[in-house]
Amino acid sequence: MSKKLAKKVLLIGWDAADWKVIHPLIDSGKMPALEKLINTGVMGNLATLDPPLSPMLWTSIATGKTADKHGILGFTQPDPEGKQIRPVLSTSRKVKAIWNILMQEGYKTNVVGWWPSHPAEPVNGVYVSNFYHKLDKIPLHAPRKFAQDSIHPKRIEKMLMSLRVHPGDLTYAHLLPFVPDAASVDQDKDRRLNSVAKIIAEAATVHAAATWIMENEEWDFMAVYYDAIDHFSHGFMNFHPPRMKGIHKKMFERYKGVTNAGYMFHDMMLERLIELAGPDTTIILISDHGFHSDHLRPRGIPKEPAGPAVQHRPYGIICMNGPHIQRDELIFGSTLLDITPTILTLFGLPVARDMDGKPLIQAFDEPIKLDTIKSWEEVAGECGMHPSDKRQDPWAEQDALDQLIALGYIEPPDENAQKAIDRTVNESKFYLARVFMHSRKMKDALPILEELYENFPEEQRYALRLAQCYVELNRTADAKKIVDETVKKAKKRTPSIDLLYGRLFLAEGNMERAIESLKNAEQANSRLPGLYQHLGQTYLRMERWKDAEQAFIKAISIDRDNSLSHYGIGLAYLRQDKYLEAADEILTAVGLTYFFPSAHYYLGETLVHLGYYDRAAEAFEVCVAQSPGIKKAHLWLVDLYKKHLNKPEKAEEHERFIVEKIKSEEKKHRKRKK
Amino acid sequence: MKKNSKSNERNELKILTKEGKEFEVPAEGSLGLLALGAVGIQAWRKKQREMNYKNPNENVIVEKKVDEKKKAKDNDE
Repeated sequence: MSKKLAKKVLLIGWDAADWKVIHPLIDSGKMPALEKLINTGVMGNLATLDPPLSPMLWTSIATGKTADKHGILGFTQPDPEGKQIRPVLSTSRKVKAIWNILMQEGYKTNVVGWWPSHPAEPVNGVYVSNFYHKLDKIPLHAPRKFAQDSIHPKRIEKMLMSLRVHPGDLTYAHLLPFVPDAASVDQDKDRRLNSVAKIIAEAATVHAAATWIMENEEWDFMAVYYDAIDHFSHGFMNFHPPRMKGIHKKMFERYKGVTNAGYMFHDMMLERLIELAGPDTTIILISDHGFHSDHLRPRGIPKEPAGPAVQHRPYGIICMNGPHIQRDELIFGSTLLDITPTILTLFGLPVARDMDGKPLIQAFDEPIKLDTIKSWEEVAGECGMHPSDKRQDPWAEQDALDQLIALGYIEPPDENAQKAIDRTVNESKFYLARVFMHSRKMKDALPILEELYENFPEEQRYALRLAQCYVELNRTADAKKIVDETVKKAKKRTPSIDLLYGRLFLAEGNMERAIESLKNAEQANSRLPGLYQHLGQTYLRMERWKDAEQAFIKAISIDRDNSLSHYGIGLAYLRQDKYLEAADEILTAVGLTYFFPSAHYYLGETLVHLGYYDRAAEAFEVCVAQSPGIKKAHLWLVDLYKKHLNKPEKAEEHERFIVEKIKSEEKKHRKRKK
Repeated sequence: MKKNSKSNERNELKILTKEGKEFEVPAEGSLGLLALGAVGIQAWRKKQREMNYKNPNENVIVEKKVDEKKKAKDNDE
């Protein structure tokens, strides 16, 4: 067992919180609690996953695993009878969450409001499900009913239910900080005030439960999740300054402060949580993704399932504070898959090798020897998960139900319900394919996308994703066929299709046509995500270094947090012998996305040019740790250890690796090709 | 604001300012009370009970459709 660094851990989730909104508020002294947490702890970006849909992401945070493993695939799932759809449930999670593992290790765990967490799991502490705080559908003066099984244990059900806040309980005293002219809003025409009240009431309800539990119950680990920042952002970010084109001035003036007020309210709640947690507790504050708040705000929302996710930014926040956590430091390269491994490490427990994240050891104030275990799933003992007969795989159940319907054993659901179920099932498959693509498991994604495209050839999202998958698998002819068919059906070429053609021509090595397609896309929509990166990559392939540099600079001017663009500009500088500038850009890239073997490789090459041999070796070591098969990196290491660093034994290690692993792999590959 | 007792010990409930003075809980509530969590909500409700407070804003804020549906249902019954 490795050293235990934390006595207690409080994990706080702020859905969609984004540094871009937080920094100006901190600078003007409006988020003092978070400011203190940052100044005496570490902070950084937390890279999200694709698709950036909250129930999938928060389950990945709680399990350290991607959605193909944990089984939560979207917002809804078919009900066990297959007659309708319903929100995703905790019973659909196939693997242990951090609270289950900690309970198994004897720690007392509490969970409040996690998404999804209904029905409440029978953990050894308190568990409040994400159905607890929903009150707005109940008339104000009616008895405040609640969803069965939303609280565990039952002994505190009455107490916690009495703390719930109804939107109708709120007064202008609560609303004026959000909407200063609330009294002049015509509620018959504009229902946004009601929406603000609902979001405040739900956040206050979650917070009331969390604070009551912290005051009155024992705990070693506690996870609390607030969805309000995401809701404020989806509802009101379009009114956030500066005023967007198309937003009426009067509406802008009325609602421009709602999002900031939402963040400030969270800071007030955070202050209370910090006070109740006490100085011995390690606090981890995170968000699952960011939210575009500037010129990158989309002008429209796609009319498709989960369309509003287009407003999500790929970087959320992380802040850690407490014993053995560094002070006033930045941490880099964190992803939301790292949270569970980090909490396990804080408690001195091994990280499972079937988890997809890594512990954020750079946040700790001392070196840690890491232990691993094959899988926590195989560790027996009471862990507070639902009993196996209560757990379900809604997707497998749907297949079984379809079979029973086909056999005539059960009645099919009515037409509308069936449509909703079909859509849910198809979307879940689409999300699963995207999960595989994001994890670079293209071969797993391909059959799912091919099936979706075959069944729904008119659905452009499925077609374009399938084409991308073919491109990644170097099947450019198949990709081109799909894109051609899509253009034919749509009877027009959208900028996204031009972008895809650009990628296809690039993959085929037809540079001139790639540039032509990308320029077409640029003319139609110069803010198309990924456009300038692909243009830059094409110029890099053409060895037009200056043009590549310019294209990547344009990409950065649109989104300065894009690691691929910083990497691209770094490469362009490297090829122009601008080594200091190259090192700076590539370091920024790996700071934003730490798992980036090629960036570490070129960082190594740049540092060799600058004569920093020891740091170059470090970069190449990271590269081969992330991707052991990169032979060039091993060769550089052999050279550096022999000629510059006087470490012949290390050089030998890499020489051996090249001979034993890489050459044998190459041999196998050649054999397969034959 | 701070509190000086556990949130379920209603009779002893007092909220103190940072300077240590007793905070006069407003019957209409405040964001600060909500941010205090359980103890703030309990203190606010206690104050409303004592004053027999009726929220003048409830009809503005509450979801009208829900109340209309409830009214329609009551009429049917």
